[in-house]
Amino acid sequence: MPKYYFHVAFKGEHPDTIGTDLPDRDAVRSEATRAAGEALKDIDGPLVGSEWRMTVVDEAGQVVLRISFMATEEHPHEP
Amino acid sequence: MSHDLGPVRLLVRKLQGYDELSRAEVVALARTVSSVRTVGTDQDIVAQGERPGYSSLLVEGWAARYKLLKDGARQITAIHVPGDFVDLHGFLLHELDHGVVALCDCRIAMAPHERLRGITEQHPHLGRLLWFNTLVDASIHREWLVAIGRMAAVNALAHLICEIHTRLEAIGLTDGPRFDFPITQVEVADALGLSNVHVNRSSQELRARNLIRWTSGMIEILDVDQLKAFAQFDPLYLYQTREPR
Repeated sequence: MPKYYFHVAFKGEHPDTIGTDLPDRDAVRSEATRAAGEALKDIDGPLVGSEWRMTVVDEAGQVVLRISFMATEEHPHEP
Repeated sequence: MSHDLGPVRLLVRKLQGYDELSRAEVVALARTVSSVRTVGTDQDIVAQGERPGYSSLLVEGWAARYKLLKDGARQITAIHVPGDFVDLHGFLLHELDHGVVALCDCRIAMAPHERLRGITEQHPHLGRLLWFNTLVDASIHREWLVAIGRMAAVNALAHLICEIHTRLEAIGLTDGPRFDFPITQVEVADALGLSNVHVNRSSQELRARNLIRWTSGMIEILDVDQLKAFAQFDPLYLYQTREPR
């Protein structure tokens, strides 16, 4: 099975040095989405102002998928 | 005449961590075993929905209780190490609501339910200890529920590692902070209810924090106190204290 690397960047780089074997692109998409959701849930501190990015790369180093989150906060004028 | 204590050796050691056992009780436990069989890696020890008529005691190797969803997703609901019954509750429940799979090659001692019934009738204190054993299984489920439900993955992973280390230490299967850990990362993910990718990242974070070394089949805790604090690990729920039961 081909191996994919799920690198995360959020307030610093968190490269995946181990990788995960996955059978096909559907599995990559599904695993990345689940993992991104789980990582988002665990974020310690505010998401506002910093972009959370996951870049999935194959064994040849080619990017196959990107997922990103960003939160922007509004401060409406008090009447 | 004398039954080999061999298959129940670690069960006896485990139970002696909870209360004193008399010589007669140790002999009675040894006599519950009718035979020993081997089960290969990834084979079911018992299947969900089965009514085996006996309970299985792990002599060597590790196992996991699990349930499957229709899409093939698997949740591991408990991890068992040598000295554990994987389905003692089956003695009273009869039909199992979960499967049990061998995580590596296992030797299993089979305890027919009629022999366990004999224990409850002739050795009531020992019967209470078997009941106690299932209560600790339930306590571990509750602790897992809290970890899976409310902890960040990296802390839940740390907690699982602390728990396994503490359980193995009680039966003499650790080498200080080092222990065999024949569980794959995918199986850990199935136990924590997480994707393999996120467990992968969490394990890399524990390494980066110099808390653990995790190489194929082995874990070494590099800072036991720090890992326990990081995991909010309080071993109370394992009930490893000797008191009259």
